[in-house]
Amino acid sequence: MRPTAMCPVLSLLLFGTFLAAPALAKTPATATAVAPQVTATNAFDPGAPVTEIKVDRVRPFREKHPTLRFLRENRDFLRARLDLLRATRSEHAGTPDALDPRWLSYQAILSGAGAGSDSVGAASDREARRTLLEHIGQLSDLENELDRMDRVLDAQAGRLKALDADFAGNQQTALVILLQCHSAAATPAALTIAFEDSTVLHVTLTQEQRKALLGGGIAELWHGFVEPREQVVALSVEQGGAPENGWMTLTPARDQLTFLRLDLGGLGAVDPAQRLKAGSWVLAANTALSAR
Amino acid sequence: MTRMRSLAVLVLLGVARVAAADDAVLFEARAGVATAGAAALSWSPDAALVWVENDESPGPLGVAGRWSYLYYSEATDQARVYSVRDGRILAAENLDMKFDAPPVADDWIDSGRALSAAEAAQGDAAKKAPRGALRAMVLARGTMDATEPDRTTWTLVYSTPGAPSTFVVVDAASAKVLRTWRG
Repeated sequence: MRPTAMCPVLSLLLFGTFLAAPALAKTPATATAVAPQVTATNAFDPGAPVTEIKVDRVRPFREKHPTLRFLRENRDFLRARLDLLRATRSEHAGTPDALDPRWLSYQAILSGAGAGSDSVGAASDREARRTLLEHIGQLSDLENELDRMDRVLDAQAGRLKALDADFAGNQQTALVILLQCHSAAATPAALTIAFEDSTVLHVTLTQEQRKALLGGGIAELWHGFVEPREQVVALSVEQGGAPENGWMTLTPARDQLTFLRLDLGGLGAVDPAQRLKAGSWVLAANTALSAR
Repeated sequence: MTRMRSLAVLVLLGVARVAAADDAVLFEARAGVATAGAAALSWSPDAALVWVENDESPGPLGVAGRWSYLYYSEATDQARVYSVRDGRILAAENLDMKFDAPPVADDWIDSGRALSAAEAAQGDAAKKAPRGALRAMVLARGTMDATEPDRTTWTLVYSTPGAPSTFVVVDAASAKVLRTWRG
């Protein structure tokens, strides 16, 4: 898994919150220390139906499905063939790849934007002189200049649309983990979140962050790409005594942004089932675009 | 008596439901690429498809209930497999061996066409020496055809109990059968 390219700020603003940009994202199969960003907010509204996620007290059983039987049965033969191939391929090293035409078009976009600004600036100067002269016969010229400015603005909008389609519109499967905890007795000191691919996130909350959580704040713990499949995420919460453990089964929606909210408000509850709660919802990619 | 009959009907309905739930939708290999590819990009941005293989028995039209898609990342030097069934990823795991295979070409023919080509080329020879049951269909580049290492090929493996397997290599671009051997 790797950091997401999509900026979540716009998406989060849609919910009326003011969370900062993504904290850290996972790197493959590593243990990562995460510094959460906590921001005070009132009446957090996800803007989409929240599905409650069951937090299991024991790791759920996952059936093992055999894969690639032929490859595994013939691994020695195939490994030898790959070694032979590598020797052949080295003879073709240095073959250039074709350039993505989009990279070339961005230079043209920049030039176009610059030229547009220059012409607008020059037009403004001319307009100031004309105003001084107060020559009524030049009003038609003024109208033409305004039309030209409109055209420049239209062209700029087209360029922005092209950039938007290449970057912001290309949503991949991503996950944002949020933390909520409104109870002083339940505010955790640290959390550990483990994904199935052996990636582990260690989150430590500072005193200020804990205070912000108590004041109704929400912490963004992590934002990154995930695989669009059913997977188990392990959660361990440290509060001073024995850690509270839970396992959540998630299925992030393909090519969409999924939010996972951890609610630790019941951490001190007598009933173990009430201690860890979680919910998730999906933000469709086109929601953020249309809101702009 | 009526109660017994109702119970029997209920039991039969239950059995039918279990059987239906277990029946996967059969599909050709290419249909699962988009699903596996989306996951592979989340795993590593430079992930490239290097191997496709059926995970459940292939049917007569080159379809199977589950296919595996193996991706290799040069940046991490790791390979990860996604097994797709019913349009979703049933299993995902890193391959426990080094497998730095070259990526398959984009324009490969689907498994159904590859099987048709292999069956058509067999012709009358099948009557004299039957190949046995189709056991595996593998899409790869370079590894199964040493004569042209840059070519992407389908390899079909037929097996008969107590006899050597038959391998049929089909060009994944032209659907031409390149070679057949027993071993």
